[in-house]
Amino acid sequence: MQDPEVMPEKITALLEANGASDITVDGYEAMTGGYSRLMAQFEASFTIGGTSESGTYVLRGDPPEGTAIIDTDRTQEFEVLQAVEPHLNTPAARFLDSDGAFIGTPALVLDFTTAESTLPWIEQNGLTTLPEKLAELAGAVHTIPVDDLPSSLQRPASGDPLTDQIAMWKHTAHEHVEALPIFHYVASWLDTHRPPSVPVSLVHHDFSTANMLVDEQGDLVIIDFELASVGDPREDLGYFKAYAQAAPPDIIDENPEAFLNRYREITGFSEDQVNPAVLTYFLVLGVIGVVSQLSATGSSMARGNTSSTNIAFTLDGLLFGQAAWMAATDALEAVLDGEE
Amino acid sequence: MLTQPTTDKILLAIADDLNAVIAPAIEDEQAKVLLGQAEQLLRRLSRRSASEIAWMVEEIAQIEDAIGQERSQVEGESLLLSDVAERYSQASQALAEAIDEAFESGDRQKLGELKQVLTSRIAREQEILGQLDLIGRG
Repeated sequence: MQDPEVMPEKITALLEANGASDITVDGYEAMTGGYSRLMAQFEASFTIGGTSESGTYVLRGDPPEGTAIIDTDRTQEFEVLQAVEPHLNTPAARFLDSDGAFIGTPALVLDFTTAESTLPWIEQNGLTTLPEKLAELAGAVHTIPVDDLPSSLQRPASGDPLTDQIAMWKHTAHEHVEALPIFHYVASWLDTHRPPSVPVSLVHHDFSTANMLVDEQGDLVIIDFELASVGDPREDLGYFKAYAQAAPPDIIDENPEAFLNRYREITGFSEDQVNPAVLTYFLVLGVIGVVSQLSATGSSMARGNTSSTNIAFTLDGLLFGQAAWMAATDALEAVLDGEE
Repeated sequence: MLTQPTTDKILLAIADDLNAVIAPAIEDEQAKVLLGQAEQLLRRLSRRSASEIAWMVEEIAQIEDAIGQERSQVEGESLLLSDVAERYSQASQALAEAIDEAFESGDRQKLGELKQVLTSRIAREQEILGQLDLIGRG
């Protein structure tokens, strides 16, 4: 995917296989910011289903084997994107190369969006109405009917998403290349401080400003559903806060009441189910999906099965995380002790 | 062997040169991201390499005290990084099991003592980490 000389021909073959004709592809250029996947943009014109179209598109594919920092499936991502697109402000998924037969690696083609990255947009425009916009985005993600989601999407095996996530903390600690006592502490702590439950929904699992853009109307666009599953929707809210600690600002903290009121209004959740203390709980619980993936690739590198600067660099995020999780459990315990 | 400048100082010098000399000469965006990650990693490795064996040895003793286990360190034991890391992981596993037991039994005092070890560990991890910059994320 890195060679602009050969990629237009490969993309043309993928589009042809999907029924497109009169295809031209040019302007192929690698993009940064894809984090876990290789990204590139290109210009194309083609006719499909009797309709001609032209524009800019994004190719999103797996990196070479053994170098990915997380292991996810492009086919599932494609199916999720197609399922959520009618409900969300997100670029449409257009074509899929599930096994890499055309592109050389499993990949999908998406519409390009001209929306801006969130953090630079905030630097220029301030936070303005983003707390409410974020609540509306989260609410939109979490109210998509679960029956509309692809059957391939993982559902809570135990029937209870909190039980599954806490089990994943324990499993991650068990599987890691070295003992992780802080993970044991966190898992047991989460188990003994469970909040009231809510119905399951789609969970993005990397719900952060890194995966949000701001469009011309000032609305948030959400991208990158590679880690999505069905779970407790509050995982996304907690993950958002956790990520914001490493990459501020925290849009929720700008106006927590406005955010929470709007989110509760959209989802119908009660104040017992969604409040600042519950968000702190999920700040810890909600990161395990990404953390388990980083732990697995870090262990793989330690065992000599893979090697990359990106894996080593990203693993250091666990050092930041461990401090943040322990601080969050302390803060929440102080709040809960005050309530007793 | 030549021990000076020490490993930490050499790693820091490489990181400084990457930042001051190599980075401005690179135009490819992906290469810039990789270089930024490498530079940050080298700075962390500099801090880590200076102290990590001493820190692990100290923490093993701290863990053994906290879980009420007799000190395992004996004179003449290997100070190879891989050997110390293995003993550190074993001690960490014992600490993890003690934490599990303290939660199960509801022994808050014990849990507080064990948590002290975690707090010390986090302080050192933050010293290694320095400032976190999520290079490469959008």
